[in-house]
Amino acid sequence: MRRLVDAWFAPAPAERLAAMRILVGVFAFVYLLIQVPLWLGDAQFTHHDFRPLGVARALTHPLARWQRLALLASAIALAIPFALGVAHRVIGPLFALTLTAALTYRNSWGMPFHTENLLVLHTIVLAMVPAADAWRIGHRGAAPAASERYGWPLRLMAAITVLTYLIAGLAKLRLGGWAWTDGEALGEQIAVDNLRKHLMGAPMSPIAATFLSHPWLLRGLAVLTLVIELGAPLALVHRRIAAAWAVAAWGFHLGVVALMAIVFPYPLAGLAYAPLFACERPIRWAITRWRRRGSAPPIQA
Amino acid sequence: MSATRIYGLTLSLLMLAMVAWPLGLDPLRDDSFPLSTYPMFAIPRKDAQLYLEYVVATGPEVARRHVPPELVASREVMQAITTVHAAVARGDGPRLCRQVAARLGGRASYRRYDTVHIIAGNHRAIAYLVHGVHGTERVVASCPLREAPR
Repeated sequence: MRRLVDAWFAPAPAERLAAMRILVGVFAFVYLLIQVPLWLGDAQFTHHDFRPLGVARALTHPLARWQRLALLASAIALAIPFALGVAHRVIGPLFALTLTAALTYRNSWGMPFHTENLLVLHTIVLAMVPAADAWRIGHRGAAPAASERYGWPLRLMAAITVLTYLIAGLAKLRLGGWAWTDGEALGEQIAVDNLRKHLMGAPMSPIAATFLSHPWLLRGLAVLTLVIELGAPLALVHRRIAAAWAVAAWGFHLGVVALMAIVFPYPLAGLAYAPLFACERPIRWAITRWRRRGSAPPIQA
Repeated sequence: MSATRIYGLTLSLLMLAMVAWPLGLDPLRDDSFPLSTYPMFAIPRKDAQLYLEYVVATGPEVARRHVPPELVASREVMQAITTVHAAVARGDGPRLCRQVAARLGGRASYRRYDTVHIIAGNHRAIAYLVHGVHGTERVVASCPLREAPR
């Protein structure tokens, strides 16, 4: 037990946690910005379709249009200081609350998407930890030394990631039993999802029909899916296993795009797996490069 | 134990317990956000049977066209499905039909179409996609597609 606790609290650089803050903040900003047209349209938010989930259950009626847009605007606006690390103790929780409220509201119209859960859960963690001790705007000087304060939040975010995959795997076993691995249920899912898209006039996968005609391919995919989902906790054991698992899980999401045209942006962008790795390196590289450019002498004419 | 560890352990256990909480719930009925039972791709679908209400546009000289979700309700397919289904269940099919027709009217890409239909179809998905075998369809509502006034 003692060893487990020590491993959980193993020190990590402050920049690593700060890198997660920057990555998640920038992702949320871009993601919400892309969604603006969807929020502006009223067709999706009709009164009759309101099925409140989570914190949205506090609402007895859907929000008025201006309230809905104000919620989205607040989340977008707060993503910027969150990413920059401004007043993190105040902005962090405010942003997490606003993002949770906004995305919960968006998921409260008859169909939870499962593509935004990790973004919200990771943001909640980042809001409650010292994620702005390094790389925050207006902060000069060296970052604090590596400490256990910066290690456990990353481990918690990684554990949340693998736990969500494990729950997804267990849900398949609970609903379909081990028979899920014969690929039949997966094939039916792929077929139904693609036909649904076709009938609704949306683009469907160009390769779905090929896979549906070859049951052995589906069987392989089903087994691989369960191995990735049920094996997710192993990613916490060793960095090399984490790397192999992250690549496999990322490939799984790529497969979902190819077969069902369903995009999970957060894992596909690599952010779901970033807490498992030294995610500060690309940002440090970018910052160093930017600083060098900033200090370079002006080009002579 | 240091304050950092007490805070870290408390928050870690709390968050992990919250995320794992849906494991004790019904995967289909109790799905929520952001704490989810993650039932996607898990639901068995006997014979890949699909009953769905959808919107199509037809014209005298063109093959029928399935109206995309953003012109029905939302860019999100699943939410558009929910909207159409709820409208049909409420008996509001004709009204939704007129709303979609109003959106299509005046669009150059729908100039050759003259009618919008809401269809309730029952198909076997694998047979439909792999062998081109269509199931049964019933027209729930129809309305004329008129060009929007210029």
